Amino acid sequence: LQDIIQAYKSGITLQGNSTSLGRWDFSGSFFFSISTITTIGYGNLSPNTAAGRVFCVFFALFGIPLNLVLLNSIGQLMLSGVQHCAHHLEEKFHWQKKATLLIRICALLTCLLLFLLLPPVLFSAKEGWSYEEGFYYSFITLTTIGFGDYVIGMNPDRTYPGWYKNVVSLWILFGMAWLALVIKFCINLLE
Amino acid sequence: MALTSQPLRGKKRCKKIFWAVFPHACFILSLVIYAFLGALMFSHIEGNRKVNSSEGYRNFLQGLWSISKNLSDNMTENEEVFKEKIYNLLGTFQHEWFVDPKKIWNFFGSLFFCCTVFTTVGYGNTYPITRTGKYLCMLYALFGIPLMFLVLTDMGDILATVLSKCYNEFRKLQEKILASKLCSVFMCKKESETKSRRSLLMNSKVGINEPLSIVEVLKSQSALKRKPGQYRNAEIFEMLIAREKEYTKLSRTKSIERWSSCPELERGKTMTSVIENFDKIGKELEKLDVPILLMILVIFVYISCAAAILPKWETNLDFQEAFYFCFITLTTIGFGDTQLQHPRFFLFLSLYIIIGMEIVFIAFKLGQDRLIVFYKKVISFCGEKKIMPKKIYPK
Repeated sequence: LQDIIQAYKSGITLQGNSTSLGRWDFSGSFFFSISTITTIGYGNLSPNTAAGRVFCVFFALFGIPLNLVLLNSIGQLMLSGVQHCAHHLEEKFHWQKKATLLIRICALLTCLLLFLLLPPVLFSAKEGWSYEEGFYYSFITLTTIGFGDYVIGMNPDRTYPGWYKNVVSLWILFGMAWLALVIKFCINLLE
Repeated sequence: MALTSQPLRGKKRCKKIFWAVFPHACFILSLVIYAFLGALMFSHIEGNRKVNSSEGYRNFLQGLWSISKNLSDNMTENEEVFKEKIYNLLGTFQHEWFVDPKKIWNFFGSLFFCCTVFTTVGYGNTYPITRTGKYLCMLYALFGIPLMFLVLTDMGDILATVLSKCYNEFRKLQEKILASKLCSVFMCKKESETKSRRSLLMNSKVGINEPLSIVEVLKSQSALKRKPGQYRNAEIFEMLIAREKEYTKLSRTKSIERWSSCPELERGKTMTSVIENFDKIGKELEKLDVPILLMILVIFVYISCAAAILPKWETNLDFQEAFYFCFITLTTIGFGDTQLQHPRFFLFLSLYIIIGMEIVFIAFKLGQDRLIVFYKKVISFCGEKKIMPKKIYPK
């Protein structure tokens, strides 16, 4: 029985009835590339041919530093945005140093809400997971562990709106940049 | 006096080595303890999961039996019918029906799982199913990943120093060979002049390392002659200022050395130096400057070593597949498409994996820096449409 299951799992990509994220058309390949260069690596799709694997190796070799540069710049952008806000509010209300700390805590809480607490609501609406499962999925994705037990867009019985994949990709990008920023701050605090 | 100081000096050296190695060993030991604790926790929680045959499982089996009962003897006809009917049935399949939790979540299995969590590889061949297991997994990752990151950065310093030393030795050797070749070809009378000038031009990264007069500087910077006068003056002033800074730095280090020759201060120095070393974690890594192609070559050689040994006990992997698997693991992507038959043996390679992740981490850091430099050049080229003069500074 195990062999049948294995054969099914490898054969599902050949059949035409799987979702667009489960086969090698443009959306599925794009999602695969994203999962490779962010090093999440779900594994729902992975190259089987020798040529595909060789290409994947070189693709990852150049793509991962590129992704790191992008994450760093997005992080810097977010940080400068927060500091800009703090500066603005300081001028308006004439608060002293306390304002920056307050603004930072506020920003941290908003980002926490936006990147970790709100997306599970979206996932439970679109994927039919519970809130806990959605939260677990968000956490495992943003820390780039990426088990692959939960993957978005893999249920052939559900229809996904057009904007769904793009919004999730944006969320992954900004969420990872924010998490990297938080880790940097923590390390700076420890020093 | 001289006879009694010999064993003392040996003891001091031992103590020095111990205190130098201690912080690094501390980090690695804490990571190992963390992994073992996690393995115990997960094997307890997930291994004792109650396996109750759910309704869905029973329906699935019944559906399978009824399909196979209604098949005729014709093979080709069977295939069509089977594919169609089984597709809908297999859509309801759940992975946890067919796995025995006690077999998968024994100590070594849980240890393997914990390693995939805090290295963020995350294969996905084992994953927590119970609710407590999932929450515990998230908590474990929250503390394990920064710890792993700390260990990586700490060992990366060692690796970076080793790499840069090797590379510098290699460059020095290269220069010596080149200089000796030139000596044999040209007349040896002019050799001393050309040698100093050539060493200046070749060490574009190191810059000015011999005291040169301004006339010699002007002569050697032949490129400066082609530029307008104002740039030339600015360049010369900047180089002079940089050289002054070098001299003051040298004199400062000399004064510190004189101060530290006091014996009473030696005793307290080891502890403060150990504590200071904690602040220096990651600084060596930032200073590293070797060509990125060399790093890529090192990575490929390193992975090929493992890919050559791995098929010895994983019989269904050939060299190419083992290479792909090692690469996907070391970059922490971790698809999980390649199943290991003996995960335990892979754990024994954990030192290899840490060093491998190190090397990949360093290579990606270097790649990042090179990319940023490249982007800056492109943007300045597009923005100003003027080729900036090449700046030669001591680093």
